[in-house]
Amino acid sequence: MTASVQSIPGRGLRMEVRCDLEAVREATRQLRVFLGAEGLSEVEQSSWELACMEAVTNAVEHVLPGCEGILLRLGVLAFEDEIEVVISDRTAGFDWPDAPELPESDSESGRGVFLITQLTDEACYLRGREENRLVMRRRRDARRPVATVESLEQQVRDLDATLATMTEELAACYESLTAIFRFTEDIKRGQYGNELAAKWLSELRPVCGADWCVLRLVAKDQRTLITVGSTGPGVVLPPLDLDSPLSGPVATEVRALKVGTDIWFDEASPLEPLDPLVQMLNTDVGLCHPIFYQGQPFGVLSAGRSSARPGLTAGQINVLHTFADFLSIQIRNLRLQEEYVRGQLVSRELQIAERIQRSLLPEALPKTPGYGLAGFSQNANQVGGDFFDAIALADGSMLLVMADVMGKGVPAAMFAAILRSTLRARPDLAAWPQELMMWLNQSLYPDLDRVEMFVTVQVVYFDPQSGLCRIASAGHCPALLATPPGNISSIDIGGPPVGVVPGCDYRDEIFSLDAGALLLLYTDGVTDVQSADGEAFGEERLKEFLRTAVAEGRDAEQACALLSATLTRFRGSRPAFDDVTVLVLGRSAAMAGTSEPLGNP
Amino acid sequence: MKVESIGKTLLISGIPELNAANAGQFRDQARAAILPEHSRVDLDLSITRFVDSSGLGALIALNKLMNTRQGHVRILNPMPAVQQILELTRMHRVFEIAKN
Repeated sequence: MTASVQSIPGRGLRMEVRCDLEAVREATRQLRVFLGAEGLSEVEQSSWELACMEAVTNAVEHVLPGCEGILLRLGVLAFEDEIEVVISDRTAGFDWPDAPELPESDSESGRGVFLITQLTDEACYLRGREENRLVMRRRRDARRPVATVESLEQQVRDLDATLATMTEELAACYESLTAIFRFTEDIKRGQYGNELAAKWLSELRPVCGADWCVLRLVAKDQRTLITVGSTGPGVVLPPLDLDSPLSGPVATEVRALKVGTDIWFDEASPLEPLDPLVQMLNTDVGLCHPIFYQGQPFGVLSAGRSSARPGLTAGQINVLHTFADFLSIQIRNLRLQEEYVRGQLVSRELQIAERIQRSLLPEALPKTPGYGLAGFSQNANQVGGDFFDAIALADGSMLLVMADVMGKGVPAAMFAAILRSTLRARPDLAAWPQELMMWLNQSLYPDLDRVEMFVTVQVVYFDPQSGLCRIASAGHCPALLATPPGNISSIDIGGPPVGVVPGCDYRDEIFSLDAGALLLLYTDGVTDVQSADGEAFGEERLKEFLRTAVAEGRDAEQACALLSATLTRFRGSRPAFDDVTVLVLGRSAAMAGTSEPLGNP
Repeated sequence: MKVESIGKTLLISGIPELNAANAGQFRDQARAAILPEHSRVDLDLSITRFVDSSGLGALIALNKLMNTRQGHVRILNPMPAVQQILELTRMHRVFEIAKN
């Protein structure tokens, strides 16, 4: 391929080469053979082969029209301490940059001159009228004569050095592997948190040859990037907003996560003065590596070091990437485990609350001749605080209770239990709903106030002898009284819920339960039941239901069952979102009351 | 040059050199071998003793193509001289380099 080669062993090589890429490649191979014979090391030979290939390729690709047939000249001089290569070309020439720079990392060309300057000690481009000359010089490594005892010893030393480098790399791999085993052990022991993340980072830092490491994860709201670990003592890195547009000033960590590739910072493209990472020690060179889990942004691992030390090697970058992958899987697993445990706790809590609530409802309602009493309580998907009770008193009278504790879950069920036992503790006050309610408020206010909860309560004292009822209410929805043939009255007595106003007054009201009448106590879950169209059942529909029930002569049990069926039909496919609790007291149509005044039972 | 499709990975090996004389041909052959199901191209450079800036340009072109498909190019077992050009041009920051 090469037109002519003139080699003077130990002195120089001169080649005239056809102006095509295959020919110049062959020429650089021969140059390498010559330099090998001159005793240059493998590294030196590779460097010259690459530098010359870059130079001659440029000469071929930019040859002036009409000059394609003119041979390129390549001359090598091997001095005692230096190699000089001169390449003459027939191109239009170009301005040799003072400080050649690398193009953008995605550029497919433009690295030739940069490589030549990196691979040689001196590169000088002389532009002439007829031809241009590139003169490259590089000092020789410690000179080694070929095939002497010394050169063989040098080769052994070179091999030892290579072996040392390989051992170092192996040690780094071993360190990485050991660190990963330690992390796995930490996880097995159930240790997890920011302290552990900081510990892992402090292990990673020397393994990947960094001066510092920072790990941030995407917060659960997916809108911020929060620090979970940093090797910078005392450095506080504020959360980063992930919603900030890329067009404005954006922290490098956020930018890396948004573009999905490593972003490097160094002297050529330093961190912005306002970037949070500038607080870290030595930010001369480093990178922000975005972490994704199943394609979703998960976090950013950043590392940096001083430029006084050599840059991060490919091996160190590999360690960093592997660690980031490992970490994302482990942290994701830990989060899933935490969610599972939390889910188990919540479902256990709900089980307890359900059990408490079930135990509060009366197993059987008291029976009184001439009257009927029926009720039900349907829970929505969560355990709520609805509660009803019917307490048979020694003299044959009865206390009906309907209550709704604000909130859901165990706290609501607990307060319902407290309410039940508090009410049952004072049968002496049953006939006096006003006083009973004041006592209830006085007893429960401190506890309810402390946890910022309240209870709406309705109590009805009922004397079957007279058919008279005395009712008091603490913020509960009105009771509905239906009398034949279809009159409805809403018994609405004002009064704040229990647990809202300390030492407040309540009042009560007396009414008569006439023959054939129905008294309905309920919680607001009844009127709030929604149809598939989102329409509420409402008080008017409830009144209409009662009017029909009383007109049709339904007893308490029938009315209760019909109301349950009506509400289910009204709701249709829409799931219940609140508890529904109902208590119906009915007086049979045949029985007439004595209507003696209440007050002295 | 040897091309094998292993699941979602296209493995390219058996490349003695990647230089100005053969980089264009290599790039075109590799592009033609990449199928839509490939999410990664593994370039086994264990026998590649020489890569110049034109060869590097071909590797960057392949990586750009894979990036548009949410994939990437991985370089396997580069020889010291090839590792040197990757590090000098900071391409070790762009390509995942794996050794075994």
